[in-house]
Amino acid sequence: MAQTPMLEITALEKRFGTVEVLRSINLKVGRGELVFVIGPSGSGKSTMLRCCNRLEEPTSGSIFIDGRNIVNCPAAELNRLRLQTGMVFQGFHLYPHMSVVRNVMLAQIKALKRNKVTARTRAMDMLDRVGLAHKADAMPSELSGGQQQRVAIARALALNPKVMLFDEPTSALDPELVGSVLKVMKDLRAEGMTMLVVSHEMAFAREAADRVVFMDGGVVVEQGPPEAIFGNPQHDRTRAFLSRVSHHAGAE
Amino acid sequence: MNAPAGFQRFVEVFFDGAIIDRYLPDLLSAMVTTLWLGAIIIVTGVAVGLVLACLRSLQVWWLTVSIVMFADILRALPPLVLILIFYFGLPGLGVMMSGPLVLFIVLAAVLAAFCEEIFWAGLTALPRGQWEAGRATGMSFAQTLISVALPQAVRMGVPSLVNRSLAITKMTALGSVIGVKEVLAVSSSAQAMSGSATPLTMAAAAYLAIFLPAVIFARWLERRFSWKV
Ligand SMILES: Nc1ncnc2c1ncn2[C@@H]1O[C@H](COP(=O)(O)OP(=O)(O)OP(=O)(O)O)[C@@H](O)[C@H]1O
Ligand SMILES: [Mg+2]
Repeated sequence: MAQTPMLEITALEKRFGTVEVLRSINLKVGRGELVFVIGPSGSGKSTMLRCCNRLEEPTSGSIFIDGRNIVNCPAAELNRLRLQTGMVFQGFHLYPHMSVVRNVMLAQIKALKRNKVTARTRAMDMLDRVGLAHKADAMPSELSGGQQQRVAIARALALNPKVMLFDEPTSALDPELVGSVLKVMKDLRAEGMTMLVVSHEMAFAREAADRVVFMDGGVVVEQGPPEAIFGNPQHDRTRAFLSRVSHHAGAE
Repeated sequence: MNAPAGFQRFVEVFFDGAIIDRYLPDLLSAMVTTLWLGAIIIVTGVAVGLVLACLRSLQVWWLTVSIVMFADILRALPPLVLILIFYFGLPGLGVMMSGPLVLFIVLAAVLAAFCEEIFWAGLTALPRGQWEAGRATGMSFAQTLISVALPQAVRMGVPSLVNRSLAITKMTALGSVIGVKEVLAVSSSAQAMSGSATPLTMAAAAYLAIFLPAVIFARWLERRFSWKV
């Protein structure tokens, strides 16, 4: 593609002490693309995602967001830089002592210095977008897991991120609640949001992903369109993983 | 025959009307002293404890070491020992402080030591994801500390904070050994002068008048802040 990708990871390495967790990762996510990352537990998926907003410090390599390398960015600029990426965690991590709408307002006020009225308006827009405007004044504990995760997505979206990072957004949810979160993600894709998603929702990947990346042992083993990865995987490791996952899913 | 006489004797010893009349004004002003000392000790102790816990969260080693030493030493020493050292020892170094000032400094410091530990326990009990959510949305360490971590740590600590504040405030009675005219000092000197136990009854009543409402308020506070997650 002609434009620079929205997110580009080159030669990314990450070590925890002497343990090599990521080894020369190269990955591009184009503008408006939804890229799915799959792989066995411990393969480094979360670590890679967390490097993209420097919740984890990369050991070496570069990560470009909209053409700007965030790895060598000075610590003082880090907070501003993190506004470019919205992160959604497996465990939601809503602030339990604040109402839903205040959860969505907080970083707008503190980090973006928006005034309260603007922040509230924006928060209500975002809550509306995830179908939860009517829960604005509820406390997080009064919501189901799926609703909490949608609030967490609204909280990230409210900051106008360029890329959304999802780390197993539906893994902590009861099966019947997964769909509501996936629907929000599908809507986002339709609106042109760039997304990097770590998830085990294979059916969703087939349906919604532009590209699927298979990671194992800290490297990208292969990547391609979902039909290719699921239908005709090139590597033994990918085949082994996919058959394990589908057997597991079949047994349930 | 004997019982009414015994009862009368009891009343004379503990509730002598003439003695009550004579010492009531002194005792009321002593109550005021106990009250304001208690109030500034709580406010200062809790505030200093909060600041210390925040400083400790910066994880700068020499700050951490100093704060932990401060907290451990002040929690280990009986406050009376510190009060005596400050009041009778420091003048030897040319540092003279009035009784109330010594009482305030020592008790506020002891309360600060306990409060620091309570706030710190709350901060460390906070799930890491709360910090990450704050930082990932572009908030600074300080912003995340103040808006996300501390409010939750304070809520978790309310019951211990309340109990500890009450316990330390009651120690204002230790001021009686260094001439602070608080409730116990005034009533025990009245007892010595008059030879009647009635001033001590008055002291008990005064303490009840101060601390019973405080205990009831504390209960309300605990219920109010008990986690309605
Ligand atoms: N803070 C850390 N310190 C040391 N090792 C870590 C740390 N975080 C992760 N690791 C290790 O890095 C490896 C990759 O972890 P990571 O969480 O990225 O895997 P993952 O692919 O997300 O796995 P899962 O599917 O279970 O979430 C694991 O072996 C893990 O033990
Ligand atoms: Mg993970």
